[in-house]
Amino acid sequence: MSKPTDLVQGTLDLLILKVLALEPMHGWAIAHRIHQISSNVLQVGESALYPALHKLEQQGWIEAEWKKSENNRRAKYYRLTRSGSKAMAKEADQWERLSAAISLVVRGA
Amino acid sequence: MPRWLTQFRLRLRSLIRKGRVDRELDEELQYHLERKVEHGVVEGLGPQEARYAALRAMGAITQSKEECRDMRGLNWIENIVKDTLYAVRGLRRSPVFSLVVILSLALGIGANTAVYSVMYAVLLRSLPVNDPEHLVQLVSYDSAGNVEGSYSFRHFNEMKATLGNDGEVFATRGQSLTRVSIAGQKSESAIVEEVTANYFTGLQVGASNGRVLLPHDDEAGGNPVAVISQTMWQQRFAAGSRAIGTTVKHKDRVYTIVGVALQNFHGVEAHQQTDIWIPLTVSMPASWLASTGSQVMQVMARLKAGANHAQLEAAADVAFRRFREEHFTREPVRYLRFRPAGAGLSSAGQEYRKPLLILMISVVLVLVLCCANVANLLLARQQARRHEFAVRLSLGASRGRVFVQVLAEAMVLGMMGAIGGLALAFAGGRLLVGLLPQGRIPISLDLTPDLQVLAFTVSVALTAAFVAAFAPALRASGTKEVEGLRQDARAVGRLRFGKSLVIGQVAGSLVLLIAAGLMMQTLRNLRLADIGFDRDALVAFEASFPDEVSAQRRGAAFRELTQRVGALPGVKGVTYSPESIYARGGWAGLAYVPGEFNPRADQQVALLRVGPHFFDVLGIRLVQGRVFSPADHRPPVRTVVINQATARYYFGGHSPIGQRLEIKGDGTAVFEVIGVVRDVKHYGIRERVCGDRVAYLALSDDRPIGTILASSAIGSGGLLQLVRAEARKMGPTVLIERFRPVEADVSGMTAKERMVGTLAIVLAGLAVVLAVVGLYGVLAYSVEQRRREFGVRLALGAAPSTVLSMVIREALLLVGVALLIGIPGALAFSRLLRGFVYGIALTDSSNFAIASLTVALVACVAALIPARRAANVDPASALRFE
Repeated sequence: MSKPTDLVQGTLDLLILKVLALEPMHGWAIAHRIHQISSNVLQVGESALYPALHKLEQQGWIEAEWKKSENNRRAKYYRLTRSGSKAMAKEADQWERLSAAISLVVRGA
Repeated sequence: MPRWLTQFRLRLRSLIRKGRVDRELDEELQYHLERKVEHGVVEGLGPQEARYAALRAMGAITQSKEECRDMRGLNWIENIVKDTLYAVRGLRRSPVFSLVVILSLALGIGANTAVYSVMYAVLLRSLPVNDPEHLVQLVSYDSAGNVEGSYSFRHFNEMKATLGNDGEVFATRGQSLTRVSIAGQKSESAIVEEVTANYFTGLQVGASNGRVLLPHDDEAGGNPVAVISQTMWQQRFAAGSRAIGTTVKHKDRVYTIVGVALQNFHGVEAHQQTDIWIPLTVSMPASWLASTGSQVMQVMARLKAGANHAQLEAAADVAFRRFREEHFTREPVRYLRFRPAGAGLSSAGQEYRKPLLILMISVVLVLVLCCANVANLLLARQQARRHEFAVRLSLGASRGRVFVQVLAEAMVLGMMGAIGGLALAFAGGRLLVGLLPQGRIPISLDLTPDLQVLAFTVSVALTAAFVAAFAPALRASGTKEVEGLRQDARAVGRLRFGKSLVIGQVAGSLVLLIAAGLMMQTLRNLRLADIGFDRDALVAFEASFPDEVSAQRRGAAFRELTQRVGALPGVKGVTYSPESIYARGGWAGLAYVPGEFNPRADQQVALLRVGPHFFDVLGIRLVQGRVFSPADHRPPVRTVVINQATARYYFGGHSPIGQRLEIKGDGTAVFEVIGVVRDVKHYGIRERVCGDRVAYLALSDDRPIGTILASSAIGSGGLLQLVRAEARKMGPTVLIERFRPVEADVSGMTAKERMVGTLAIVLAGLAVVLAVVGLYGVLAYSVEQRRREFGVRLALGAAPSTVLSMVIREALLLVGVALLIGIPGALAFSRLLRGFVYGIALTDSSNFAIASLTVALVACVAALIPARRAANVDPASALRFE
């Protein structure tokens, strides 16, 4: 399904969807949360994050809404849609298979 | 909300509320930046320091904005709008270039649209009825593939019984242009269609006012009814309600109008419009309704939805053959087939299909030549703008964008060409209809461009623009930045491509020229053809006597009129014949020497009933025996005059005079052969009817009828006045109709050839002009490129004439290559003209030679101006040029 070049992009999409599955949040919080959950391993740059968010919105997997943020300023909050959560399940499944396969090869070799 | 709708809404929002979306994006990224600064401060950096760090990290912010926009997928729409506007601006800066391109495209597109719209109206457009795809026509084929479609009323009833459960079988006698009298007023002409009473129910056409014919209108004893068309209703009755209930008198019978057919419905022939429908059971003579010999009806059927066509066809075929075995024992076997009739009866289609197809191919060829010209022009423009493209490419425009831009310009030109083409097609289509072979009934085609024709035009225009612009666009996007910026850049590739385009153009025009040559020769041969009688001094007309009720009084009036016309000064003789002496269609019957009937042999002869003095008036030479004397016209007529082909066929070398022939015409009778006349082409110069065998029967003098023929020394206009005056002396209602020189009928028979011929000549002329323009353009460019070379040559002592002939030689070389391609192409193309050419072989070598010479000559003329420019190059200035 995934071409090699899609790997990184596709993975970021999955991470975003996964984080948004917890609760609606804005771009900064998404990057921050990914950073935290991955025990400070994954750093998501804004130059990758925002295009990905806009693409996901265009695809209809997430939707956006302007709300007051925790520090009382206007921020754009993203929320998972129904088709988004379906897509997430599929992507996650695919990721599991892929990563399992890769580990098999890496360990076996 | 469905996903695609969400996407569409977002995309639309990005496009329409662009400013707002961009602001939101700014705000979103700004928020991110602030949070990042705050985060830096929390981590222990000073506020200023944290800000710089954040800005550094987000340095590529402009780029990510651009990426976000791409992700929203709005750029491509925006680009299209931008490219189009840019193209329009660019084209407005070079109006001459744009005008030339638009005009060439309009010519090509216009010609295509005109031919297509006529083709569509005649062959393709569905009848304005419900589910036209369920309509079929019942036609029969013989083993040689000849199609027939006329049946007797009895046979129609048989077919109706066979298919009754699976569809509605209905029939029409076809349209005829006749005189009718409405509400007892003065008679006027109208196109009347005699139909079975279930015609409208079968077609599923309703009435806009009143009612249509219904099956019970067939029943005897009822009040005869008629239905009129919307057009007639509007023109004759001003769309008033008093139309219904008005009477129409047609051939001594009075019908009451009961309704107006739905708008747009004008009968089942696509090219002729019915005014009045009447039930044929009322209008046809009772003897015809009872006989199986009066095969005058065309039968159609509406098959039920979901009916198995193949199965029904097989069943109908079996019944058809059984009927024929029973009633036509002496005729060859025929097979019944269903022919799709959703576009109407294809009687016109059969006639026009081939000429229209030839025209369509020719105009496509012309369009290709137009495209080649446009491609050449675009190429020159691209060359001139190399500098601009190079700058744009160096400033970071992608090659794709440059490609799309050149293409966009061509598309804009193409659409302008389409608009011009539609206007041209509107005028051209009418001209084309004027050239169509006209029958007795005027052709009337609905050529208003509808959606289908419009779609055709637009797709032709866009395809043409794309084809013409593809190579120039490719070359523009392939501009080398550095080279393009240099002033002296040469373009060898441009010249090579331009030359191959010109070769194609010259080859294409050669193909059309050869076709035009064939048709010109054909038209000449047809005009000069010997048809066996003297057509120049002959006029023909019909007369009607609406006031004379009985056949006897009508006959007397007819005889009086012929005598009066015969007595006119300058009239050499008068005769008449109910058979058209020079028209399609006629009357044929079986003929055989008594006792020698052979069902397997072709024993059909064309039959012509002729009045007194027929052979004298037409100038048909007697070969043997004698022609009819007044005594031969006294009933019962028992003598026959045959032509040479008939004499040879039945009597071989023996003299046929005094021999007997049994002829099955009106009835079967034995006739005595009294004379043999020269072969005459009665049915057209090239038509072969019944193996050219003709038998002339004396028309019995108790019922004179038919077309009156007069041979006169006066011009037909003057004679008409005299004949009208005689008719008025006999009474106010005696009508003289269709007065025409027989020559008009004769040339009417070759209308198809004249249509193809005229248009082939026009299109060939157009193609040659296009080729000349293309050739001139390429040579002029080539001379410009080689200025320096010519300068050097002249400086070194070459004579100007040497330079001149160099350029002409270059042109002739192109023509030579074009001939190599064009001649095989012409051989293939001219095969389409089989059946149209007359008296000249398709491969006639002198025709090929003349066309090739014409092309070469024209090429030399086109080369002359650039050649002279080359010869006049001033060596000093040419060498200083750089």
